[in-house]
Amino acid sequence: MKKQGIMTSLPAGSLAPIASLGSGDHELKIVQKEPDGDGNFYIYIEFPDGFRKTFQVLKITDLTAKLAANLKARYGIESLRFTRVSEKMDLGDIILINVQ
Amino acid sequence: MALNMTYSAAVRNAQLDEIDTAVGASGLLRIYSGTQPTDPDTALSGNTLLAELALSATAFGAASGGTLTANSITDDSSADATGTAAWGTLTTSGGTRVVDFTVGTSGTDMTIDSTSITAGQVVSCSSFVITGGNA
Repeated sequence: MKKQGIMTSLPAGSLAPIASLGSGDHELKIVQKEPDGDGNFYIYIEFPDGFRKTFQVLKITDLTAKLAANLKARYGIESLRFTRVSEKMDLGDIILINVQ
Repeated sequence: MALNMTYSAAVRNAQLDEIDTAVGASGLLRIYSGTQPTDPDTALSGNTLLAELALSATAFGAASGGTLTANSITDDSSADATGTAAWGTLTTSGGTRVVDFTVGTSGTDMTIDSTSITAGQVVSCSSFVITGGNA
């Protein structure tokens, strides 16, 4: 069985934001959390528009930089604060961000 | 005598459609660095998730002529980590691996223009076709 696929890698920010997110507070929900079998965790985050993305991290607070990059790419957000995020967060918890 | 088992297109189509069934709704295409595990049932070991692209809610159209073609795949607008892409996988929406494949610039299952992926960059997939074996 052959798999044939074509992928390309483009510079950061080369896609226009595909959704918008206004200023103020927004929720990022942890919809799944599981070990990757290698000492890290996969954290599945549901964005405010329902889009889901998985991050492979050692701990929850490692998410913030990756989330900020993804929020910037997806929504064009240049400035935000994480107003609620902690190591104790688990499945179902909400990470709060404030978009300036 | 040489080994030469061949399947009809109908059988290959049925095998391929099982991939679509196994991936299920809203599956994922993930790209990793590190050594590709033996098979999708083998746990990761030293692999970093570089990019994750969302498959369509229905990942593939019905197999035809012994090939299975993916419906549109959403770009990863911001790659998760920096590393060298070595292999990829199709997973269920919950992350269970179904099909693993090699990734490289040539001679691999999946071709990518550069295996060097940098966190934050865009990764897109313009085509994904699986051809059933033993035609």
